[in-house]
Amino acid sequence: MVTPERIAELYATTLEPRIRALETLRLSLKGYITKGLVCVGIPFALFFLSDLLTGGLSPGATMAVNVGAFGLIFVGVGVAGFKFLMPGITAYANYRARFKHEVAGEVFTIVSPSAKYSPTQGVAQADFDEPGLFNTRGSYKSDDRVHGTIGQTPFEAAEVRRSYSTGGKNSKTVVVFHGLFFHIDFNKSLRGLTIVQPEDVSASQTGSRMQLTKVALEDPTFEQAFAVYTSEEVEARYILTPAMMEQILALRQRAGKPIFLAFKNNRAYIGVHYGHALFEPGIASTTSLESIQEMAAHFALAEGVIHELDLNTRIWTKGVDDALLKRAIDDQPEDELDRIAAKGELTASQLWATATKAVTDDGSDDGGAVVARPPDTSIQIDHSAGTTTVDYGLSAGFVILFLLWAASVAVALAALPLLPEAVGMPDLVSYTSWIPTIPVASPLVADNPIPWAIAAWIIGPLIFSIWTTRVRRVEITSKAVRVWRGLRPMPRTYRRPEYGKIVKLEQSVYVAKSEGLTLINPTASPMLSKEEAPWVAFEMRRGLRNSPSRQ
Amino acid sequence: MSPAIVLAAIAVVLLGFVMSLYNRLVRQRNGVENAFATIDVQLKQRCDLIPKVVEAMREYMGHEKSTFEQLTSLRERASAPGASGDERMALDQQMSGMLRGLIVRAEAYPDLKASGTVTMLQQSLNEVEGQIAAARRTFNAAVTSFNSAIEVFPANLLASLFGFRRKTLFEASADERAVPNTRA
Repeated sequence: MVTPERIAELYATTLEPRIRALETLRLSLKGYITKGLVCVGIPFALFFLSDLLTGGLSPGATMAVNVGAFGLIFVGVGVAGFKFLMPGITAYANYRARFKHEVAGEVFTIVSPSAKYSPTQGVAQADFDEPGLFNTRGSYKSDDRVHGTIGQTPFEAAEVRRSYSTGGKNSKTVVVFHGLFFHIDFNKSLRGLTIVQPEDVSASQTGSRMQLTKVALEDPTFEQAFAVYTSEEVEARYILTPAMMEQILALRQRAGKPIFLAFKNNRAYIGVHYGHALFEPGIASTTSLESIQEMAAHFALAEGVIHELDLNTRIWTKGVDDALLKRAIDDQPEDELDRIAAKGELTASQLWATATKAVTDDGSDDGGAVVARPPDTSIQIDHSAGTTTVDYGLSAGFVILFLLWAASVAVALAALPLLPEAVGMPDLVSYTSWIPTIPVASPLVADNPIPWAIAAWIIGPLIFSIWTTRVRRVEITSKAVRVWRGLRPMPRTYRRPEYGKIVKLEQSVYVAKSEGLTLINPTASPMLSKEEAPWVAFEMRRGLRNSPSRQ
Repeated sequence: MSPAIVLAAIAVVLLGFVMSLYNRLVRQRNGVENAFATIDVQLKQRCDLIPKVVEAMREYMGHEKSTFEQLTSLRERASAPGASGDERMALDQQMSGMLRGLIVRAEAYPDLKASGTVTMLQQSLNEVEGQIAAARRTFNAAVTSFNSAIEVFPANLLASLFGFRRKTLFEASADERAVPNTRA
C-alpha cells in the first residue's frame, strides 16, 4: 500500500515538473475553449439583450439590430468551428495523451508495480456485459485499462461508461454505469450466476433479474445494503460466506461509492459507480496534488478489491487462470493515432491522414487497377486532347429540388407583406408594400402567414445551399481542374499544380491539394452510387496522369 | 340474491384461500427438504474423499493404520442404505474431525507434502466444507422461512390441522467448532 506521503514526494520530485511542462498545452487548449465560447457567446448575448439595446429606436432599426445579431450568431459559430474547433480537439488529444503517459502512468507504476497501465485500452464490452450485471442498453466506452497479477490473482480493470438517452420529446441521458470496472479471476469454481447489487439501485441501471431468485442472507447489515440474486442458492452462499459479506461491506466503506458484484464462470466482476470521469487532467486549472492523490487511490482500489475480498486465498480446488489477461490483450491493439498523440505531436493533418486512411483512400495515384464503367450510369466521361471532361448531367432530383426552392421563395415573398400585421407592427407595412400579389402562393399563405414564412425561410436556404453547390461538370486540363456547380455558367477553377489530387471519401470525389493534406476539400462530384464513385475517381486520376501539369 | 348463493360464494372464496395457503406451505416444506437433500449430497462428497485420503497416505503413515480402518468403517456405515438422516449427520461429524486431524498430521511428512497430494486433498476438503457450510445455511434459511410461515395467523390454524410442524435449525456441534484450522 502506497502512503499519501510517498505520492506527495513523487509529486514534488517527478510529477510537478512534468505537469509544468504540460502547462503550455493546457493554456493553449484553455485559450481555444475561451475564444470559441466568446465567439459564440457574444452574438448570443447581443441577440437576447437586443431589446435593452434598442429601446427608443424605430421599429425598422430594431428589426435590423435583431436580424444583425441573429446573423452574427451564425458567423460566430462558423468562426469558432473553423478556427478553434479542430486545433482545440488536437490540443486536447495531445494534452490528455501526454498527461496519461507521463503523469497518470507514473502514479500507477508506484501504486501497482506488478501490473501494466494502458490508457487507451479498455475492458472489452463483451466482458462487461457477460454477467448481465448492468443494463446493456446504450453506448459503451472504456479506457484507462490496468491489468496484471496482484499476488496470485490475474485481473483487469478500467474506467467504463455506459449511458443511453431515453429519446422522445423530453429526452434524458441515463448513466447506467460510470466508474471503475474490475474483471478478476475468482478463487472458487462456480457453475451459476450470483449478483450482488445495492439495495436502492435504480432499475434503469441493472440488467434483468427475471431468471434469478432473490436470496435472503443472515447478515442484517449486509441485507440492508445489498440485494442478492442468484441462479443457485447454495452457490450464492458458497461465495457469500459470512466473512465475504463483511469484506464486501468493508470494500463499500473503502470505495465510498455504490458497488456492484457479479460472480460467473469462475470470474468476479466488480463495478464501483462514481458517476463521473476519473484519471482526466485538469483543464481549467493545473492538476493539483489532491487530484493526484485521488488518482492514486483509484489505482490502489484494484489491489484493495483483491485484498479485501481475500481473492489471493487459493485454498480451494480451482487453480489460477489467467485467460482473462491473454485474450483481452490480443483484442485491443493500440491505436496508431494514440501512439502519435502520446508523444504530444499530433497535428491536424495527421488526424486527417488517419481519417482518410480509415476509408482506404489517401488520394495517391498508383496507376491503380482499371475500374470498369458501371452498366447503369448516366455520367459521361470523355478523354480527349489533354482534356478530361466529366459530365454528371442534371438529375431529376436536382430539377425537383430547384422547383421546391422556387416554390419556397414564392411562399416566403407572398408571406412577407402580411407579416407586419400578423406580428402587430403595422408601421413596417411601408417596407413590404412593393411586393406584388403572387398567384397560388399569396392565397395559400393568407390565413397563416407566420408558419408559412418560417417554413419557407428554413427550407429555402437549405435547398439553396444544396442546389447551388451540386457539382454538374468537371474538366481536367494541364492548367487546372474546373468545377461547375449548381446552375452557374462559369466554373470554379482550381489551379494546378497546387491542386493535383483526387480523393474519394465514401461516395463522393474531391479535388485536393497536391502537397500535404487539408481538412476541407472542394467537391468534384455530387453524391454517387457505390459503383460510380470508384470509377469516377479512377477516370479523374487517369485525366490528371494524361495531362501532366504545365504551368 | 338468495342467501344460498351468497353463502356458496363465500364458501368458494374461502376454499380458494385455504387452498392457496396450503399450497404455499407445501412448497415451503419441499424447499426445506430440498435444502436438506443438498446437504446430504455434499456430505456424500466428503465421504468420497475418504478412500482417496487413505490411499494417498497409507504408505507414508503406517502407524495411522487404526485411524484409516476406523474411517473406512465409519464411511461404510454412513453410506449403508438403512442409515437415517440423523445417524448419517452424526457419523459425518466424527469423520470430518478425523479427516482434518489426519491432514494436519500429514504436514509433518516431508515426502508426502512434497508429492502435492496433501495440498490437493486439503483443497478438496476445503471446497467440500465450503459447500457444506453453504448448503447448511441454505437449509437454515429455508427452515426459518418455513417456521415463520406456519406460525403466523391464519396459516397456523391450517398448519396444525394438516400436521405441519416446526423444523429445527442446523447448529454446528461443539466438536466441529473445535476442528483444527488448516487454512492458515
